[in-house]
Amino acid sequence: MTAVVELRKLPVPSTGGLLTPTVLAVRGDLDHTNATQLRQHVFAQLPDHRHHLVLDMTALGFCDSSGIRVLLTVHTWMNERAGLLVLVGVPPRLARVFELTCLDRLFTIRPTLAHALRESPAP
Amino acid sequence: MGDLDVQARHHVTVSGRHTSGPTLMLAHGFGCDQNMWRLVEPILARDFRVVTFDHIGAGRSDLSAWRAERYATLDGYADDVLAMCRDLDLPPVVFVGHSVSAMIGVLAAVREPERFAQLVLLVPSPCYIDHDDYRGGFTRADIDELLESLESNYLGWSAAMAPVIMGNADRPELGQELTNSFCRTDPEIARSFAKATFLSDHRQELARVNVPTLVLDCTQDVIAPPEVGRFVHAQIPGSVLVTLPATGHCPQLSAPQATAEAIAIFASEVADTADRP
Amino acid sequence: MMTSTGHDSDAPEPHDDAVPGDGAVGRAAFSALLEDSPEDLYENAPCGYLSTLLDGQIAKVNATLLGWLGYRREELVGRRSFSDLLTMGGRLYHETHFAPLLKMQGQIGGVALELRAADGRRLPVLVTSVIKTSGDGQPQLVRTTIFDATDRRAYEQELLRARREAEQERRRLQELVTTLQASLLPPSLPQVPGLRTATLYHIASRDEVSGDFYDLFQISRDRWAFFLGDVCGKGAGAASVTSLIRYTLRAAAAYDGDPLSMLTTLNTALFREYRSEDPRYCTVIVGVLTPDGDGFTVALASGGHPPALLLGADGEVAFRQTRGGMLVGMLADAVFTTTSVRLGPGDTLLLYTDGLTEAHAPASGTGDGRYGEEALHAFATGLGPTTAEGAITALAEVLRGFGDGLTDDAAVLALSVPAAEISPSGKGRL
Repeated sequence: MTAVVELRKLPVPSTGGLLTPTVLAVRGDLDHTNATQLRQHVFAQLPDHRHHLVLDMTALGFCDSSGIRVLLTVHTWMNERAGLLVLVGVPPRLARVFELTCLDRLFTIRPTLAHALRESPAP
Repeated sequence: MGDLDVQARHHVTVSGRHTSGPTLMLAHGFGCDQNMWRLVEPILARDFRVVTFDHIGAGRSDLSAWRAERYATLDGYADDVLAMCRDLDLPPVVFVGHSVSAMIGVLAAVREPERFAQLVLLVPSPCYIDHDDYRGGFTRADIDELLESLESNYLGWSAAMAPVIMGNADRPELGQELTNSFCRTDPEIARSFAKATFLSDHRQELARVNVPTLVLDCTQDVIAPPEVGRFVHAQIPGSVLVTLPATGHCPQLSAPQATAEAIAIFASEVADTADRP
Repeated sequence: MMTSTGHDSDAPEPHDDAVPGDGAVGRAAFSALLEDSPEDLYENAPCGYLSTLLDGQIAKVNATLLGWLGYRREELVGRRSFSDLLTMGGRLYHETHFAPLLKMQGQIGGVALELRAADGRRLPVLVTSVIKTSGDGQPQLVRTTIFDATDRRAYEQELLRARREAEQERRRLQELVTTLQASLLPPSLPQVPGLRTATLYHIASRDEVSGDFYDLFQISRDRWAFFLGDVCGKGAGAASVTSLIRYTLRAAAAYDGDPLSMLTTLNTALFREYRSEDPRYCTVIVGVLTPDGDGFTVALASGGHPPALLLGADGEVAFRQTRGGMLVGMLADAVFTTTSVRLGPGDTLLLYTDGLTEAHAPASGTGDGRYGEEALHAFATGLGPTTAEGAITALAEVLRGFGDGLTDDAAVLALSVPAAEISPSGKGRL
């Protein structure tokens, strides 16, 4: 059984005077067999400066501890550049893992993409 | 009746209406599986109950039951024969062993003679490698060459072999299922069986056979030459030697009628003996 | 032969029956083709031809094969059989595989054999045979074509060598993984007076070190500590983290003996050690056992780990929630939660990693097809009052039931106090 995960960049309308975010949608199952690949793909989409990234996880089926590592790595990287990572559409089971590990306090989590875009930080 | 496990494990098939008559157990040799008997089995099934099976690792046997240590020598195969006799509740059988299975039958019959009414040894060889004044016909280097042949044919087997076998338009009775499994073996298993077969030396056991025995050989056979047949006959007390009018190592394929008749005539003696008051 | 040099483009289109090409050269080549008799095609074909009688005796052989083998025709026809041309090993293969298949099927193709030439040279070939039958279906003779396979055999040898090498490398890797894995777990759990212990450890892949770990050890005369956890990720990186975790927790336990301080020490170590480009985290549940009358008091601290499950002597089953404990190694000043459990006679405490609850189990009826905590609770309730060994044996059966659904590593540690047994000190009653 091999997990398959897909990463897609979504078009984003300009957010006016705010920092225009990169929106990436994750789809499929994320585990140790594909976590490293996903991390590389996410980083390939990020400019090396202050940035706003929204990860849409609505279509994420399964996410094991390797997947959580990827999220934490991205989070740390964004933090170090005073950027912002927002997770949207976190599936219920993953939300429970976040709660269990207190990651819900670390990550910025919003219910939908619309919510996340409204709160883009100032440039 | 019988143990379903052992039946499935060896893909045991039973034919023959005369279940009150003697039971023949046909054991295939190295290389193929119980399909080797398909030309003689219908002839024999007219007068006998016929049991055929696949050795573990061959044909449609349960490959997961194969263990390298257990089948490193012929004793493991002999254990299986005895287990089948026991678990299938067979009366004392006429065991017909082709090639290496002839010696597997000898080992089983030496261990538990009460399970065997007779032995029919079809082109047997107790030892394939030459030793001093014994002529088995082969050297150790020859056996290594065979292992090489097995290996190189394994590579071409799935790709080159399958379409030829399956595209057998003018022999429709050879269904896909049959041809897929016939003579096809996991290379590791084939290698192990080849070693167990061709490196074995069971000349000592022959003299301990205490069951009426028929030795069948052919006029010309590369693997079991006539002098080996004569050796087996000379070693087994009271055995009968019949040379079939056939060439090659598989008389049940090249001369099925003559092979079946020779087996039937000998096996009928069991029936006659049993009929006596 | 059709030629297509430049001036050909001016030539008129040939008719259906026209000689292809034009000019004297083309016509001469074509008539040479016409003169190519079937006899010549047979004798000098680019492959060997051989016809044998049913007993194997050679009846006909073409010049190509004679040339390859270095025999004269009269040396073979009527005198030798096909198997005489093979090496001894090839002869065995021929008799046990080739000949039976040919008899059964009427044909056989693409079999690799080796011929032996008159001067002893070995010639790797590919052999295809068909049985020619008479009008009434009686087999008459065997026709065989033989192709030179010297290059192919060299290629195969290379493939075989590469395959063996790859298999050997894989075996070495698996041995290494097994050894490394074993070094990260206690070879066996120590005997704790008045306590029964049992463990279950499932490794999803023999090719990668699991990130699950557990341990149980003595910290003072009558106190014992244990932990069970899961490193994020797996493989060599996870193994080195597991090693760090194990020694940090053991050292912290010896120093302090309080589960919360143990976790805090571990958090600091992980946060510092793996701060930079390769951050590492784990979830872990740590416990300290202190004898308490006829049982133990178990102080628990959890960092983001699934809750322990208490199977009571009275049949009650309850998760001991430790929510609010953070993933270990995530923040410098992480917060962890503690709880305390009384483990009396007949009680069993179950610690597990999420490999168990996250296993694919479509039959469990959960929305996402995973086993889940509810199913585990129901299963434990069904068990009734049990022991460490009883719970582990039953859980092993559950894991087996998952089959291929058990995609991740899983570790389970069970602790129980025997029902109505001697006191935990293990002394004084005999």
